[in-house]
Amino acid sequence: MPFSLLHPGLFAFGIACVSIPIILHLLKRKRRPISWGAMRFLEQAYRKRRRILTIEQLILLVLRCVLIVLIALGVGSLMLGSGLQRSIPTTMVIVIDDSIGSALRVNGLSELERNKAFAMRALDELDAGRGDQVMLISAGAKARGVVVPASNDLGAVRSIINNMGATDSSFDLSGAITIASELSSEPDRPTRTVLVMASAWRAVDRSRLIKSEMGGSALFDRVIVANPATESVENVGIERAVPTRSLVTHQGVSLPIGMRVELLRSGADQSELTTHVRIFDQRSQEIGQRRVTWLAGQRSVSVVVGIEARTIESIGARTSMLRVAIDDDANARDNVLLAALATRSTIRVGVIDRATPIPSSKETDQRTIIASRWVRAALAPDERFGVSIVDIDAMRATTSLSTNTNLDAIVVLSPGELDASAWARLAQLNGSGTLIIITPDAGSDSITWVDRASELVSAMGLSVRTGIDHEPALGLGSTEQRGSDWMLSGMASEFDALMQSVSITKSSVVVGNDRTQRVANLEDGSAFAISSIPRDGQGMIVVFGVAFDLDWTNLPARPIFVPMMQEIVRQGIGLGAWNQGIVAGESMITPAWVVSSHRVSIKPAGSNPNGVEIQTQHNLSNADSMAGVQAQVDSQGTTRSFVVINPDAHAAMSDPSLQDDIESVLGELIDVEQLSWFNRTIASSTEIENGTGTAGSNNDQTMMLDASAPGVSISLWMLLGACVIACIEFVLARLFTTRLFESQMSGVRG
Amino acid sequence: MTDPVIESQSGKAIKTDPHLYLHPQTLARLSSMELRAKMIVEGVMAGQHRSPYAGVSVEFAQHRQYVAGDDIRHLDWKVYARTDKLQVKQYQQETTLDLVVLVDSSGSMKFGSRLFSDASGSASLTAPDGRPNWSKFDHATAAAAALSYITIHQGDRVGLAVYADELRAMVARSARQSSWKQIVDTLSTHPIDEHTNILRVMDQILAKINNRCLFVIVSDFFDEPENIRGAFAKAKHRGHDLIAMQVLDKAETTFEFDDPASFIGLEGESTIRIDPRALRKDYLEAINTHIDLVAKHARSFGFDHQIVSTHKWLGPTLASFVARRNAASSMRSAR
Repeated sequence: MPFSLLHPGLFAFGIACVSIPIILHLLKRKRRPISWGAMRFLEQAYRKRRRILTIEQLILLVLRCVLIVLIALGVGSLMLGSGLQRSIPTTMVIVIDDSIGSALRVNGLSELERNKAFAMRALDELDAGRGDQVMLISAGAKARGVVVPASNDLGAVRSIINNMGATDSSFDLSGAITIASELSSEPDRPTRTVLVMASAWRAVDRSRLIKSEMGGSALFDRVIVANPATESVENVGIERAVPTRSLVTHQGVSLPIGMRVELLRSGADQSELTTHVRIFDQRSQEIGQRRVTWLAGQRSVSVVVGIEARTIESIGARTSMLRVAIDDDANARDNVLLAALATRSTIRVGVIDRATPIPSSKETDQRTIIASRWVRAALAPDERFGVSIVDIDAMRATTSLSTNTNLDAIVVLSPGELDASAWARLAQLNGSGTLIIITPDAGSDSITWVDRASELVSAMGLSVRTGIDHEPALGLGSTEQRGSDWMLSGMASEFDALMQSVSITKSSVVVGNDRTQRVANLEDGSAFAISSIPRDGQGMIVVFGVAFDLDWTNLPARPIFVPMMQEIVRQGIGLGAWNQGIVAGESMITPAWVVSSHRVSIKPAGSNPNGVEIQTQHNLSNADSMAGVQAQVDSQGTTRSFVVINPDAHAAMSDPSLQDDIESVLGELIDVEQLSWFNRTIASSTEIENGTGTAGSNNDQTMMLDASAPGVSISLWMLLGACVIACIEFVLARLFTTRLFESQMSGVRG
Repeated sequence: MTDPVIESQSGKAIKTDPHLYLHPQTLARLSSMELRAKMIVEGVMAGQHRSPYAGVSVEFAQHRQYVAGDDIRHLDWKVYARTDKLQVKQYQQETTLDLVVLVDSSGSMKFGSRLFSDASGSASLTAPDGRPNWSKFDHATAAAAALSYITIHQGDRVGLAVYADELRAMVARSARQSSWKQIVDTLSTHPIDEHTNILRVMDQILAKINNRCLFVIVSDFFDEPENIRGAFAKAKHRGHDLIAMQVLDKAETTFEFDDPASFIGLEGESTIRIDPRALRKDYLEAINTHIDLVAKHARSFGFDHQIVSTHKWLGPTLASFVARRNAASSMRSAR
């Protein structure tokens, strides 16, 4: 049972009075001592009674101190229960859950409004005049101190709380506690620290709430926690939306493209439900839609929505932002999601080969076709395909590559013919996003080019061995890489059928490191082609183990060759465009070439012909926690890539949590013995809107800071106790001294 | 009476007043008295006091058995004729009184709770050395001077010894009037911060005295009871008479202190801080036991013991003491 004082000042004064006996004692010590002749008898008496005297003096001292303390407690109005906390200056750390989950609307009010009301209610119990201070932490990932260090301007803090809005990120509980714990670790921390945690605690997931290890439990004198929300609210959110192709061309052949949309459903009510998925372009034109029917109990679904890609407009003619939206529900923040899609008007592909290619065989007409012809035939059989081929003489590659800087992809068919400077130029182009495709030289078995190309392929750890003949010929094999980021995902459905007719009679052994992935395998499990993994805005690199020559393989003459090359070139260009998609609250990867980041907004059609507005405010304090688009600009001032920040659908799940589960999670961060639970109750949304429903209108009038027990004054008992002690002291003092004095009067010699 | 000039501890000459030692009231009471010793002592004024020696004299005292070496001239032949036993006749001899006053000047004698102006009877508020209090030593020296004064005026010889842990000063016995000034000069000293060792002092004095004397020890007797008893025994063994005048201050015998205080020993003892009320019982028990023990030892050797309070006039005290001694002496003579 805690105790408190109604008048701590008086109590302090009373306690200070304990020093009076000590001061008197010290003053008496300073009196002139008595010179005594009969000292031997005094010493004799002192030795005899020293132990008893010490005990008697101790008893009297204790009684006198207790007497003064009791009087001090009585004067200070000792209260049993409430009152103590209010008497001590308090530093309150308010953690407001403004994560995407707080945007959930229940009975007309969002959870954030309830959280804010809860915080306001705690704030109302502070008194700046008493020295109370408040520290405000926004817990939307990444948690940040909004008011740090603690401020005693409670009005300003109220205003800040009122203006807080929900983020699109998760609830960064551990981050918030880490910030708050810095207060508790301060050596000159105030006498009392109170942590207030305002959250609905929906869908508590330990792995998401505690992301980092803390040094130890944060120490607070009191932790006030909002009771978890109990209402069951159904919510559907878009977890992910990924285009099935990473590149769209406006001219020429338009390959079918779709948007793979993954949805999450939360809430206790798991009946059948229909959700409409719609996809809009930058002009808010609907370019695709699909109806999703949820089965009872189904909590996630993945669908592909077809897109009419030809009408898609782009930002700066290279990237387009598609908006995926579902039907509005309890939480609107996870109903819209952006997806970046690389766009080109046409695709420019450079093909590097010998100026006078040497046919490897003249047995048939078909065998006289050189590799570059096969490539041209596969990529741009005519102008309608929207692909333009630029032939580059391998011997003059350096010069040609310097003049052709806007190539989207370069196919190197005779790597052995390129000198070091040409490889360096290729590396430079690749660094700025150009796709590089390398095949073995059909006319030469030399692999010395690998050394010269080290600048380009060093990150892949590329190793190529001289071509070996396969007798009998090998076919194409399956690959484990079949995800959405597989370069051939666009032809995944037909790949297995088409590859059946391919036979490989000769191949080089191509080996990469763990930063490469297989495009396709040979039958014996060796690599048919490997590719680099998109990173840092660099273009992709695809290295084939087979030359596009009929002496090596019949692939160029097979139906799979055209779609395969189309897919590899288009996907390679699109993936190399380096458009990151991250979840709000996560850290975005910033490549070394990024000089600045700008937050861009997608304007509705008509307001801006380009549909893009570059915001002037850079480096927003908590930009990562809000969904949107960040443009990454290189040193040339060119926007090379976009970072799409999407809402955290997992954090928006609306499933109610149990108090025990929350306590379990909190137990790893704070001392749960200090926990006090309170309801987040506010009267009505009208009061909230009027700004009057924050503190005064809550139905639960229990004081948060003093809720441990109702205050009961026991000062009278203290004073009565003081009287009793005073009587005891008086009697004992007389018993120890006066009584003996009186009894020995007769023994005095006259 | 001439004013003696004595040397103070600081070496500065202090003009002493004989009235400091002989209060007019004291002298007024004592001038008509005749100090008589309880026992007959050997002295030049034979006839006034009876000698303790049972030797040859005019007045027969008793017979005792002859032992080899006795002068045969003192054999009582008549007794031999009647009883066939050799008996030697012994006689009483009247002699003058040799008084030796021993004044204790140990540290404990510095104590005194009575105001100097009240006790001295003079107009001075403080002692010549600036003290405001009348110490036990002041009282002891006054008593010693008074006794010396009376004795000299009786024509008897007076000697003085001032002692503490050892003999500090001594005035040889003399019946001359001029010895009074010498005694006063010797008494014009100060106690020292040493404890009393009466046994050692008694040895030193007995070594200087051959004839039997009346010793008057004026002291608080704050010494080990064994030392006191030993000193008394030595004096008794040498045939001396002794009067133990125990000078005590009223504060020492009542211990009426109320507030806790620090007490500093005057003989080099450690300082103790006590609540006097709490220790009063045990203190009084201890000091009373000691006083009783001193009196018991004195009586065990046939000596007188007299408590002299610094808060009382010396005259009545000495008068009653001398009267009691004379009465006791008369009764013994009658027997």
